[in-house]
Amino acid sequence: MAEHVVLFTGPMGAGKTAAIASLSDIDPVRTEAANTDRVTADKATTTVALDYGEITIGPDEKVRLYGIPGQTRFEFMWKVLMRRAVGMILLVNNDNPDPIGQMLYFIDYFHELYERGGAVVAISRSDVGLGPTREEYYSALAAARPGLSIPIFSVDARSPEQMKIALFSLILNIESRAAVPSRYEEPRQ
Amino acid sequence: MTTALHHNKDVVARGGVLLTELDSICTSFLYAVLVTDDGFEVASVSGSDHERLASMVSSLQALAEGVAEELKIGTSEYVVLATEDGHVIQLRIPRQQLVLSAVFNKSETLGKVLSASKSTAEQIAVMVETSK
Ligand SMILES: Nc1nc2c(ncn2[C@@H]2O[C@H](COP(=O)(O)OP(=O)(O)OP(=O)(O)O)[C@@H](O)[C@H]2O)c(=O)[nH]1
Ligand SMILES: [Mg+2]
Repeated sequence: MAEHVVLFTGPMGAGKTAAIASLSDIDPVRTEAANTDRVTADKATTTVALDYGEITIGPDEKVRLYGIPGQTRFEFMWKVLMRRAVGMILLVNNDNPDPIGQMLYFIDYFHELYERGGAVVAISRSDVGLGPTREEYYSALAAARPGLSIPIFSVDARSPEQMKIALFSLILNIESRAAVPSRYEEPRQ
Repeated sequence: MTTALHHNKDVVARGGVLLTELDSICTSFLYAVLVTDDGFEVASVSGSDHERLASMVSSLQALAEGVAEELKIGTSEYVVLATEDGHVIQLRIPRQQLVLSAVFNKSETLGKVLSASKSTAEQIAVMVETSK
């Protein structure tokens, strides 16, 4: 059975935990703690170590879904989780004070995952806060990091259907890159 | 909404005092930090870069409690990390969203420092319950 490991990244409150819960076939492993930083994200809990879920997407293909804790204080976990993954779903909440800055920050930090397999951006919570449009994200990305090919989706992280579209497009990208090896060398663990 | 415990001056001050008492009871004591469940430092004694340690304590606690729950073997009482040169003891403050992590060298037994840490955790619980 082919297995892929995908990492969900993005700032606090973007919907990483929600997205993994939407997608996972198994009861996800969560490490939620009571959230005392209600200013950054007004929600009851926040992830302090990782999220883990699994989804089978075909007769012989399993995807392992890992999520990071979004707060930069947990950056040591980001490094641990990055090692396992071959691709990234970067969630950005559109009600974030600096959504485009956050998008670029996580693309840069997890650039290795883009190189290794691919990345997609999923903009969440557009119904909550009026942030940039998808076109504005695309032009900001093209201007700041020319040459990167990263699809941008608009999603509700709570919707399995919408999250599946983003995940499947990432998996297809990972597979097509694997089938046609580029000049890029797979990093050894 | 009540003030987060790491912003509660009374809890911060009295937490610091109780950690200092743990230091004076155990000659092997190196340092200790009291953190919120989501990894903010409430109080600490000695050591440096507590911010980073506070986050790590919170991750480790969540993983340990997650494993205990997964295995259905009751709730986690404490976590011990035994290394060549010392012990890290980590435990939840009873009835609170707080975690104590204390580091000791090996000049005292694990039993001694574990029992001292448990007693400090209980005192912190009472302190928080009676705080302003
Ligand atoms: N209204 C609305 N809510 C959403 C949408 N997507 C996600 N949410 C909600 O937004 C919140 C996101 O919280 P989490 O899933 O905990 O976010 P996270 O990225 O895991 O955050 P950290 O673990 O703290 O880094 C949850 O309450 C979701 O149900 C959306 O498109 N619209
Ligand atoms: Mg989360």
